[in-house]
Amino acid sequence: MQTHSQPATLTRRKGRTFAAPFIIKQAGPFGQDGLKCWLAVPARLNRNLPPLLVVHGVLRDAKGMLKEVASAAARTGQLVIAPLFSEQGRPGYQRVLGRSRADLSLIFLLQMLWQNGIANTHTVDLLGYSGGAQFVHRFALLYPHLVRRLNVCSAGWYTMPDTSAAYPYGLAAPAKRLSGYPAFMTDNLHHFLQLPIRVFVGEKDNQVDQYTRSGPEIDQQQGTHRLARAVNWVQALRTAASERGLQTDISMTVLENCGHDFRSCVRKGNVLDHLYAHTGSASQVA
Amino acid sequence: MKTTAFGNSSMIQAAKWTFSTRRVRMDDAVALKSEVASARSGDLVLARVQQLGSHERVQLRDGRPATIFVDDLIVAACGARYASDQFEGIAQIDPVATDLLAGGGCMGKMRHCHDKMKRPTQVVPLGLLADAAHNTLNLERYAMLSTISPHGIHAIAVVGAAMNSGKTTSVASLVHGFKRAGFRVAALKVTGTGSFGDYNAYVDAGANFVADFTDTGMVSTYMQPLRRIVQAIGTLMNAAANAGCEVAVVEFADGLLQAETAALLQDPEVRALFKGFLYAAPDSLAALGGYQALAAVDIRPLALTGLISRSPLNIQEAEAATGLTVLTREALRDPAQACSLRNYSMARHERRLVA
Repeated sequence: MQTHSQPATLTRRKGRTFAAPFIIKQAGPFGQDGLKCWLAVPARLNRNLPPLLVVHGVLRDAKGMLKEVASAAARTGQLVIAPLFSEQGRPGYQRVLGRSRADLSLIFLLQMLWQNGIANTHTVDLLGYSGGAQFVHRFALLYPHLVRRLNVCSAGWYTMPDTSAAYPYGLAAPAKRLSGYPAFMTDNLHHFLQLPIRVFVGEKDNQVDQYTRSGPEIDQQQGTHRLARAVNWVQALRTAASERGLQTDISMTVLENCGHDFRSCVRKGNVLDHLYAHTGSASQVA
Repeated sequence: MKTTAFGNSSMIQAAKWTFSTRRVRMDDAVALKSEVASARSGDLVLARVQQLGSHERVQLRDGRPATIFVDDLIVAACGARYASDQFEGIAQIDPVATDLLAGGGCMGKMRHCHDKMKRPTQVVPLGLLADAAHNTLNLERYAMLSTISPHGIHAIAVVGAAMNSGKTTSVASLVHGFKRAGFRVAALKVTGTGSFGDYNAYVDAGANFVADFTDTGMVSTYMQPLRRIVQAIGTLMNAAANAGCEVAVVEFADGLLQAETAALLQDPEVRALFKGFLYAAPDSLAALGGYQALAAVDIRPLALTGLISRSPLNIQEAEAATGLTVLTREALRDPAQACSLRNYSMARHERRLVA
């Protein structure tokens, strides 16, 4: 395994220099697909905490996303892992299954990090943004036992807990054979619905843009923009849980003054405060 | 006249000790007792190879195969064997010449033989191994302790139509799938005759814990009291749970019609140990027949697997006839599939408890 460290960044305050509480490293590539990742290693790493796995959007700014969350994570001693799904290696990573099995690449990455003594990856906290939010909730549907907490920020669209709609729109088997689609996918829903799930979306993320997947069927099923889709997905999850008699820990937070921009969601929307504690100026839907 | 001859330690230690003896403390064997005809199942026997037949190799306790030659000394256990594709025999030692029933270290008297097999390798029993106090060494003495585990374990059983229907490959594949999905997984074989083939397959698949009935003191489960086998299954599952395993994939040897396997599956206490069953079949008719046989004991398999999964036409026929999905070994090795199979078995088990 190759690791490349960057020196801890320094901050200056009143003439004194303080070391930031984390170091950024690069690890990988792992496996035949060459999945690399960025790591933010806290100075005081808490090995009892599952790592936070952050997954980028389609612009693939894994390192940028990592930098936005690293300080907050470091305060709790939590390691941050930001895998990079390259355009060539994993073009459709956000759908998880298919010719390109992004889930297998990630699982292999987690195993390598564990085997190399870098992280205890038996379970992870997930945070995905945009395309990454699509990835993390689908990954959690496939492997709910690997997930401690699921945080979904500004997903473009969702896999609905609908056993009549074909994956990736729902949980039913697609008409055409899909690599990796498991025979009993719908039975994962029971475990998935009991995960702590936090859904975030910007108050102003209610426009259809060049990255929004649109069409009569998806608009009908989920809504036309990300804000509506998030609301509908959370409602669908709660309904599915209620039908199964399950207690849930699912919340949705609309981030004030935020559009479709991760940095804005963090700095203006205080999404990390919600990840680590319920504070901040964000309005909570419920 | 019964005699115990001491001073044979070096001869005993120099023999080829077979796989079924792997838990035995070799230093305990310091003498030989002459009354070989009174051997009971599990007693350790020192024997000289007299005539090579079907078995030209034995499986050693360290996990490697060893060629045997005439006049070689081997240590194996007296035992019965049931193998429809090989030999069936009973736990009886003939002082003149005895049959090597299994290369893993089981000797007895052959009664039936598949016509593809040569005659058994013949050995001359030299004596029963004994300790310094004249006690015959038996595998039972070295069995793992039976302990209760406070942790549960999610166990999925694999049963099959017959020998060579693909059970072991299915077990190993599913073990590998669970391992890739991040579970600590045990692989257990609860019936059969001691052999390292399946054991090694489970180790290679990445199981965190591997054990079989020989670890509970039996060279073979054929003709063993049912209660003893049931207790052994419990011992193995508890040991797996205590080793930190979250899931166990458990193989039942032979086919559904084999006496011990059939009796175990009819036992509600045994069925209750498992969250679900996979059924390995070689073809579509065997799939249908086994499906119906299992239904008669209130078992509906989670899915079909085994050799049948290699033929697209057989898959279509079996799925249409049984309504079950056929899972290939590639599917079982897929962590997404393994995970969903676990969740499916859990959901079905909970529905049965509520019903």
